[in-house]
This record gives sequence, structure tokens and C-alpha cells, in this order.
Amino acid sequence: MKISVRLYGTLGNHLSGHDPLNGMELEVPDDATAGDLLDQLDIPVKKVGIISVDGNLVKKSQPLRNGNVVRIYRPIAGG
Amino acid sequence: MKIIKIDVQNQGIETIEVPQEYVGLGGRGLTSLMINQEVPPTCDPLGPDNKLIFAPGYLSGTSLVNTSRLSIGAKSPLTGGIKESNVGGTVAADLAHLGITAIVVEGKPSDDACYLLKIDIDGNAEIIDGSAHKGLRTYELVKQLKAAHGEKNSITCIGPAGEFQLTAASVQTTDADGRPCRAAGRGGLGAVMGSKGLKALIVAQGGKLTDPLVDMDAFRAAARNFAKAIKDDEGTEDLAQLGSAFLVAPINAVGAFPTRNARDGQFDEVEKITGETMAEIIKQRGGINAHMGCAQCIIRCSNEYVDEKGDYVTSSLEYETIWSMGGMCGNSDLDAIAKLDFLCDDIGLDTISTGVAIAVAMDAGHKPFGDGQAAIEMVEAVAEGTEFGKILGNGPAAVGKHFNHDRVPVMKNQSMAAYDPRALQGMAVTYATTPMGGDHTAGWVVADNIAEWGGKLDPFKAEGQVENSRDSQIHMAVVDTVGVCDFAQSGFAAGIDNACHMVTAKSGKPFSEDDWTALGKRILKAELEFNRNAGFTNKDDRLPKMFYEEPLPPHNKVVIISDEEMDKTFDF
Repeated sequence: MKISVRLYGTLGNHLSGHDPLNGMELEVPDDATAGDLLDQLDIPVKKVGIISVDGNLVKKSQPLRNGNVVRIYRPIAGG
Repeated sequence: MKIIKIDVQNQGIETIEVPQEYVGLGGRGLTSLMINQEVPPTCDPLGPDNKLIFAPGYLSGTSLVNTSRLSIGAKSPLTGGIKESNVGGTVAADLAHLGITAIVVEGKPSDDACYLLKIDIDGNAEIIDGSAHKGLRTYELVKQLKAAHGEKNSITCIGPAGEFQLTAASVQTTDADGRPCRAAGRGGLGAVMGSKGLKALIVAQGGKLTDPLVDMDAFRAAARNFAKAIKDDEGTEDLAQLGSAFLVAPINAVGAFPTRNARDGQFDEVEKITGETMAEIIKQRGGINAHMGCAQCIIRCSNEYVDEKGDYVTSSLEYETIWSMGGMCGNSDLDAIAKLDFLCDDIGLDTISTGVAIAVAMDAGHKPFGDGQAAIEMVEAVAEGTEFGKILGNGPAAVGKHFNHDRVPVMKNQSMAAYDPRALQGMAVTYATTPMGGDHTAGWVVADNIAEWGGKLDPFKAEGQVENSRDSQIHMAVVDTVGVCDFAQSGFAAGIDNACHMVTAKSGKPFSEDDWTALGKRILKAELEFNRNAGFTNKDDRLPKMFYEEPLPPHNKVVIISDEEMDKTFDF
């Protein structure tokens, strides 16, 4: 199935085809979860903060569906 | 180790050794203890009895990275309580290189007075007539002062808002490129500077009079550990790439991005104003990301935002301003936000208070949300000195009063920052209880409230929030005292004891982790004592009713921290 992925912060720096403003379209297996997507993109879990699917915050175990918009954010600190 | 006291009433200058009770202090610790000791709590903040204190952090001027932080303290004309607002740039390092622990400005000059205070390369102070510069905006002022006194000076100054003594007036200071774009924004300290008739502080750069370190080798070793921890922290790369604006997208994603005067926790047009969008625009137009704004900075969270022609607009466009002038006003025009940021720096206004004041005006129906041009015109009105400009320049509460509008997100009369307390209960505690009024830096507990950011607290539950905010506020009081940049706190991953070693290596006196905590409590107690004596009660440690009564989408929660719990925050 096809999903849309948007990586924030420094996450998208080394991902070929990822546009910092629009993300990228991606084929993933039909039974893929958000965590599987991280593996597919080779993004270590420790580099990831929150994940949202279609605007809703999800856990890594969240199953993905065709057409989902997945946003992956960096952890934050600061002030 | 000296304090320069300036009496603007008779233009007297006195240089004294640091009194024993203040030895070992810098930054907020020094300003707050001195104000509590020496300023009558019930005095007129714009009158002769208030004191305006400039103090570099205790570790400013040393080899430790990211320590050019200047604390500015006084009784606040905005909150009516004690205030410390700190700022980066170069001036803190420059003052410390001249061996100056603090500059204390006292008294009240004649109404039309306009002075410049110049500190030369030998650390000597001179009061100069500044009447030729009266009324100038900060960029033009700095241009003239640099031409007259030389490029190698840091300029710390006020714009028209400070001269008008408006309570959202900032104190601006020059960055590493000599532009007055760094702001001690909170608390209306620009108005206090204006009340002293002080237009600018001119500080020579390159001084060789830095206080000696007792144990140079120990200091260097600990400073290296601190710098390494910053470099090793993955967040440092995000800060360099996107600046503090990297926060826009994730804070919006968790529903804590106050939008349209905090009617919503998410901005539907957020993608137009994220850090990612900003950095891409800057890159495409030939501006600068990863810009060095402050002396000895190894993080480089600053940027230079440019227009479509590649011409300079502002530096540095930051998260809080993108929120206050953007999401809070329903404004997704990043160019308008950048222009507003510049105008605030140029006129000498706090971007947070000013943006929220505009949002309140829009919420009251004065102008529609999202009208960036109207926002620009409102800010210009402050410099023009119009009746409405003076209301806006006095911040959100003044605007709310003018429009008889009660949706005003202020605590102790100072606007909150870019984290809605309904979506992050921990921030409700910090906003309500900090002696500084609505202030995110006093105890930033955002990450502590989100599990995915390493937090252990539930953002919608009260459990643990008071204790966590208390601990954060104690810690931050010391961070603001030693003068470490908020964004360099990753350096504390090397251990608080490592930071304590640097204090010991400078002073020659033992300073343990227990001393770190004790100092934080001592500072907070002094600040709380001042506020109590100024007339504050626990009823002032509350949020506006909108936060208790209006559920915030998308989570539809309200603040649930009870009054009794709030009152336990400083139970030490």
C-alpha cells in the first residue's frame, strides 16, 4: 500500500527523495505498523519523538492503512 | 569583581568591590537578591527607588561555551513584582572581560534626560549626554553609536517603547554581528531603563580584566566535558538546522500550540510557519541558517531571515515569536511574522507580550485573526505613540481592559508563552507560580509531560506536576545565575557535579550539588519574599479563568491543578 511520510527536524536529512516541505510517498507492506515504517526508513527509535497518523498521535504499534499521512517528529528539549 | 553604581539623578558614578553577601553570585541570583535587599517592594517601578541591574552570569567571560547571558533585574512595571529577564548576544561576555560583576542604575533623572553609559576598555564608566539619540529606533541608534564610539562595542539599549515607558518594552542588545536583535523582553524592563533616562549602555569589547579562576586546569577540564555533552546531544543538530523554531511542528502536533488567542491547541495552517518551512525559505533566498548570534556559542540556533530579494529582514526568527505573531494571531504569513519580529526589536518591544496583545485585540474583534498587515500597523502605532499604540505597548492585559475583553492569557499580568497549560498541566504550575509572572523559561517542563520525549508525567493529570515544576524552577534559578544559555542545558548531561566543579574552580570554595539546589531555593525565596512584600498573595498564583473553564481542542481539556496544589509549589 502507499502512504505519505513527512519527517521533521533532522530526520529527513539523509533520506533520498524526501522533500523537507512535502515529505515523500512510500510503498509499505499491507500489514506495516508505524514501527515497521521506522525500520524501513532505517530511523533508530531513539531519534524519534512522537508519531502522528492523519493528525492523531499514535504508538509504534499502530497499524498503517493505505493513504495514511504519517508524520514523524524528533524528540524535543529546550525552552 | 566590581559593581558600578550609577545615580542618574546627579550623574554620580561609584565603583565598589562586590559586597561579601553577593560574592559568588552572578546573573539572576545577584539581581534578585540585590533587588530584594535594596529595592522597596512597594515602590513605583518607574520611580526613583527602583534599581535597574545588569549582571552577567557567574560563568560569563570564562572559557565555558554558551555563557554570554546578561541578566537584567528590577521591580517590574508589568507584573508589579520582582523581575529578571536574561539575554544573549555579546554584552555579558564583554562586561565579564572588564571584571564587572554588575552595573546598578539608581535614581530618577529630570523628565527630558537622555543618557548613554559608556564602559571603556579599562572598565571605567562615563555618563554621556544622549539627547541627540532621543526617540531613535534601535537599529538606527546602534548605527549611530557604532559610528561615534567604534565598532568594537556591545550596545544594550531601548527603543521608543522604552522611552515611552510602556510595560511591554524590552531591552535590546547587539548580537555577534552587532545588530540590536537580542532581547531581554519580559517584564517591561525597557520601561525601567527609560524611566532612568538611559538610552544605551556602550560596553567595550576585548577587555583583559576578567576575574581570575582559582583553578584554571580544573575549570578547563569541566568546561570541556560540558561542551562535549552539548556536541554529543542530538538535539543540538536540530537547533542548528532549524533554530528554536524546530519546536513549532511537534508542539502543534501534541495540541499545545495556543492558536487564535488560545481558542485552539493546533493551528490548521501550521505547515506554513514550521521551523522546517522557515529554514527552507531562508536557504532558498540566500539567508543564513545555523547563524552564530551570541559570543562563544557552539550551538548556532540563530538565523538571518531575508526577503525575496535576499535582503536582511530580521535575526533571529525564533519559536516564541513565530507562535505569538503567528499561531496566536492566526497568521500564517512567515514574511509578516519576520517583519513583526524586526519591528519589535527596532521599537524595543517584547515579541511575546506584543504578539499576545495583538491576539487579544483580534479576539476582541478589533481586527480579524490572520491579518498580518493589520498586526504590522498595530506595532507601528506603538512607535508613533498613538493612543492605541500605547495601549498595545502595555501588553495583553491593557488591551483586554481597553476592549473590555476577558480572554487574556496572562499570569501576574504577563502573557504566557507558546505552550498551552491545558495540554501540558506542568506548564500551568510554572506559569501560575513563578515569581516572574507568565514565563516558560522559569520552569520548562514540556518534555517532562510527554512520554515520547522522555517524560514521566501525564500531561492531563495533576499527579507529580507541582513537584516537577518546583524542581525545575529551583534548577533554572541557578542556570540563570551561572549564565548558561537555556539551549545549552544539554551540557548538564555531563552532570550537575561537573557544573559545580566550574563554580568551585572559579571561586576556590567548595560548591556541591546540594549547594546548587540550596542556591536555587535561596534565590526563589528572595523573589517570593519581595513579591509578598509588594502585596502578592497566593491568589496571584492562579491562571485566568479561561484555562479552567474553556476546554482546549483537540484534547478538550482544562487545567485541573487545584489551588491547594498550586500553593504547595514552594513548600520548602
